[in-house]
Amino acid sequence: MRLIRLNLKVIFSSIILYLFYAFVVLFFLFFFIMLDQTKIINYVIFLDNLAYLEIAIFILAFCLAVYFAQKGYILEEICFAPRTSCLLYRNFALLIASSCICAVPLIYIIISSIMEGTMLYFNCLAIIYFIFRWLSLLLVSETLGFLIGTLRKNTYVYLLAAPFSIIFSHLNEYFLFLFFKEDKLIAISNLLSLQEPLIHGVDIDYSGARVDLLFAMKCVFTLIFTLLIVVVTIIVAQKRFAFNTVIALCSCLIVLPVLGRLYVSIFPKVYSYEDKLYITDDRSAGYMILSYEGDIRLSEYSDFKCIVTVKKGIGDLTLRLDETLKIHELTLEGRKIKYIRSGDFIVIPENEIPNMNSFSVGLLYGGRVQYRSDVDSINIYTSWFSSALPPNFAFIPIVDGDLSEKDYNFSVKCANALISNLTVEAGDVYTVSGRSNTFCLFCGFLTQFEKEGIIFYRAKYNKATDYWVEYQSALTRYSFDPYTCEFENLSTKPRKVFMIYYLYGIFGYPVVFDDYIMLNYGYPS
Amino acid sequence: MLKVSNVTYSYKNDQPVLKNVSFTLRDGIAFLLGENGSGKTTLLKVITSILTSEGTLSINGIDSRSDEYKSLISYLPQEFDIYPELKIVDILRFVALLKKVDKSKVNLEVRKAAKRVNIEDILDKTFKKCSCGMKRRVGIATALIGNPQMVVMDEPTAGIDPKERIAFYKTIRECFEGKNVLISTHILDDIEILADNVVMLARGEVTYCGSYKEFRNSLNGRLFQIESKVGEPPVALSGCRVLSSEKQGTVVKYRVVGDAGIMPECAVPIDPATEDIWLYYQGGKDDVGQAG
Repeated sequence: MRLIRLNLKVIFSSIILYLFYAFVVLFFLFFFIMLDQTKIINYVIFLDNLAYLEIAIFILAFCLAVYFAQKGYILEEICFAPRTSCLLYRNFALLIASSCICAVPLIYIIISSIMEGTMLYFNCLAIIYFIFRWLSLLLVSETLGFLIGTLRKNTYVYLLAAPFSIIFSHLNEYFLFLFFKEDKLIAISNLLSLQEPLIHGVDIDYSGARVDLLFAMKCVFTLIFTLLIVVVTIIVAQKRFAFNTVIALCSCLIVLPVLGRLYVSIFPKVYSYEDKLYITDDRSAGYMILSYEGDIRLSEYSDFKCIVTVKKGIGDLTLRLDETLKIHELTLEGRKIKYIRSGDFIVIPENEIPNMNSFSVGLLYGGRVQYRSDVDSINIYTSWFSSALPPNFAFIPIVDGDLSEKDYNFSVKCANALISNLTVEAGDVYTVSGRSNTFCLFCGFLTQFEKEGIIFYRAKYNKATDYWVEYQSALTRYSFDPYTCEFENLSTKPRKVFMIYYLYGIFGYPVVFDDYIMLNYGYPS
Repeated sequence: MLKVSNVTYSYKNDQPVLKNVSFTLRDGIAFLLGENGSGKTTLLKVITSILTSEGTLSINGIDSRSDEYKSLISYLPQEFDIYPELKIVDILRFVALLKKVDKSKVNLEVRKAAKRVNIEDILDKTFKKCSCGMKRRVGIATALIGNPQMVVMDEPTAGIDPKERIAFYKTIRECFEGKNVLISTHILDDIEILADNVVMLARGEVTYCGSYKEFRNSLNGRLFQIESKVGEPPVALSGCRVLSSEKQGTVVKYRVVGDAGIMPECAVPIDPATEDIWLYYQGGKDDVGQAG
């Protein structure tokens, strides 16, 4: 504690720290002025987009750490404080002092939340997300700067801020492509980058700050990586390999690749629109789904209990259920049966199917759905606070080619507002029911309004979009038929319009389902 | 009393800087003398246990491996560039805290130390605004905190003018009366002002350890000057050591150490200067038996 107090006193007495604060504030104000605030959807998206501010902070924090690492330890030396403690406590004190810059996003969030009238829940998520993100940035840049400053006392080491800021930002993809192939490249680039994942993607406005598993995993990875640098700093200070430090070093070196692998494994996959959303081959073989009922719990890992009533067809029954959803139990008329699971498909052999006009298939399944489009936007996903399960996406078992209307009756548990093409009744749990040939569920910071008899669903916190204008503009464009994949004029007035969706492979054209439209507002026609 | 026994230290795999160093120092002000690179700073760092060496060290019987040992020592390094932005009062407070002075007594201890070195008026000044002499006083104040039994100073007067140096030593004499003080220097004038004892280090070995009086008198009656002309055959000297030679025109003057009985007739007894004693204990020129 005494060494921390001393180092805090030293650091807070230094003009260099205040210059660091001043630069961060100035850079923030610069971006605030430069970015057209009228086009900023909400404050979360503004903070998410400060990629170059984050790079500037990384460079400044790195240089700050080098400066303080190169300062002598005379006072500590004359008091015979151990060298290792001197280094560690100074590094720690520096982190405490520099973390005051987190007040910048914090103050911005507080002011913006009042001005934008966002709810507490939304604000808390934003605070957690951005404070952790800025802290991660400081942790890595400062421990690294401190190590480098301890190793080398000359002024040239300040220049290392540039290559390190490239490694730990989205700019790393410009050299990582030399080592990795496309899909791994994106995941590893995002793992090393201390910025938002998939930085070039379009932000989804109803999810709020992305406090999800990917983010949590990145935080843990950053922490262990920082620990690794600290251990190396200890070894440098001790000038020898002590048993405990070697154990710590080895532990970090083992844990880091494991975490890295986990991160890559949960990283959103790219999907093919034809496979997941639109045209599919007819695999119905006369089978038709008559109704669904069950319970759904939406979260990062969602759970589903679903009873499907199927009208008998000929031969094997092929159901589609997205491959990311793992089946825990499958029953037919209440008895467990043998089935084949291959990718998205569940094949129930004909011999297991009873000789009845219709029969019920019960499924218990769950998993984490995370898909991104080719523009790096995560637009099929589930997180703790928001989910996007679009129509025709097989989050419930479907029969390819079966376009008939079905009855739906689900209880849905989720942590945020829920909307669907079906009727949603709010309560302790949502009841979603109705009759349609498709089913979609969206959860998040969502709201709705009605105009000219049409219900519009929209992000709750979007101050940049005039939804009515966007809708009017969409009417002038061709619409897209998800079954025929043809473009045509919008012939009938929809009952519902979902204006919550960004790009998913139809270049901004409205997608028309039976009585509702998915509208990719904001994308040029 | 500081007791150093068989201390050997080497950096990495190099030749040892200290070779089997042993000596005992009684209370009083002692000077550690030696040429640059003789191992003075290394020895001081070993004594303060900043460096760990082979051999044993103890202060008043307390072994250097015990936790108590460090609380008995104060150390003033050669470069006292302490945090320039800190106020002197804060520096002293932190020194007290890091020396584990009881929290309730920190302020008292700081004031006491400041009073003894006469810096009470400048406690609220930042360190960078102090003059060189003031900075030295702050250094002494830091050494005073914690009531150490032994004070170790590494070339504390390097780079300060004679007036400040005299004032500095006066302060040391006043502040550390009855304590064991070890000061390393290569400024010979310093020794005459202050030394009670002297430790001479040459090439990592102790060549003298004892009182300054004995050190000062160690060449009395044994130092002679022999003159010879340039180009003349040398005077054969057996059992003598030539400390230095000086060419003046056509004459070379040699300063030679040896017993009076073995000196040639031309040898003139002279009073030894501190430099002669220094050269004598540093090994002087190689042991030679001729001059000229």
